[in-house]
Amino acid sequence: MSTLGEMTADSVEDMTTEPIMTCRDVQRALPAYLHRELPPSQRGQVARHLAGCVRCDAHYQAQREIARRLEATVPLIGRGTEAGRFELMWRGIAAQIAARRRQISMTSLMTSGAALMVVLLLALAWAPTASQAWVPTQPTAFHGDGRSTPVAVAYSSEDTSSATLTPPLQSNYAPAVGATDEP
Amino acid sequence: MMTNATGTSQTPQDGGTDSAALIAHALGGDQTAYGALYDRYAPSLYRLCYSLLLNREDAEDVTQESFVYAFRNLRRFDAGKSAFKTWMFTIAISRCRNQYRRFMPQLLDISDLLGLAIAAPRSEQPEAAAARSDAKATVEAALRRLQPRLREAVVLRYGHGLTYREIAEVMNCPQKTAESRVRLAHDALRGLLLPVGESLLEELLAT
Repeated sequence: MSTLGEMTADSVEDMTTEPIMTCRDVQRALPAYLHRELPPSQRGQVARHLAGCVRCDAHYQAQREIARRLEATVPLIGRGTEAGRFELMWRGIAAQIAARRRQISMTSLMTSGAALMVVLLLALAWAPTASQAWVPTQPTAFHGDGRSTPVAVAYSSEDTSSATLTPPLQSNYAPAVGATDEP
Repeated sequence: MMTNATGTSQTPQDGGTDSAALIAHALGGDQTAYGALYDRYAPSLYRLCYSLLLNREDAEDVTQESFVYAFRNLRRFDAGKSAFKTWMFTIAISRCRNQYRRFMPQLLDISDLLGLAIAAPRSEQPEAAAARSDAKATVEAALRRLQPRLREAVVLRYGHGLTYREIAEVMNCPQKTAESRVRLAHDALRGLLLPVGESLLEELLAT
């Protein structure tokens, strides 16, 4: 074991910047290492670890071997399907898409029809009452004995804005002499 | 088979730009664009479904369902989030998972339970008898014995060359989980695949 004084600047830098990878870390990183998907810094760490660890290197060799076999064989699975099968599948897809379109257009047609019917019914229900002119009825006074007499309502149709409420005259109302509204 | 809406030559790769143009044409109402999208992605999608379900009829059904769903929901596809291929794979994987749940007993081979020799897939009995020693049949049978999640990871990695980030996206899991699934699948498959002869493997690698 070398002392700190004997280490090169590079090795000291490695120790300070790179976290130490355990065998477990390295074995977990093997798939990404195998497929060259590790970042360069980690790739270097794994490579250095494998160079010095027989057990991890054995794991790596085994994984590499099985990966090589899978790369050669897995792409073959499901190949060789006749073109006719794809044509049949396409017909099925096209038929389902077309059926869906028909369904959607039928639904929208029915919805539009129903909405139109509702509008027509409302229009028919409103039409007879709308044809009768609205005539205001004269208000009547209530007497409590079943009789009612018309009440005369006087208003100016020409200038309603000028109408003001005036309190009735009260016999006992007399402002004090000299009193003003000023506070 | 189908005409290409854009008039460009079709490549088996996931040509992002061409796919974007096809999607735009399809959304614009061009019916031939749907056919062109199907032509481009159907082989790989079917291969994915077959590799996961290991049954031709089920794979065809799921492929069809996936395309119908994708075409009906094409407006939802966001090119900024994922490639069209991985979006299609996500749709297909979800349907394959429903299929495992429905037909789990059929995915277990009786020979597995009895510890007998690896059997051929039930949909390919005639040719499987002749191809029992073939590496392809052996891998297929080995995949059948894997847990579904491990099988998905292996098929996406080796069958379709997806990166671990893409696998995580399709499988809806963290990237580290995708990596560990591939590692676990390696360990599980080692005992099943190493007996395949080296000369046969060399032959496969040469083709």
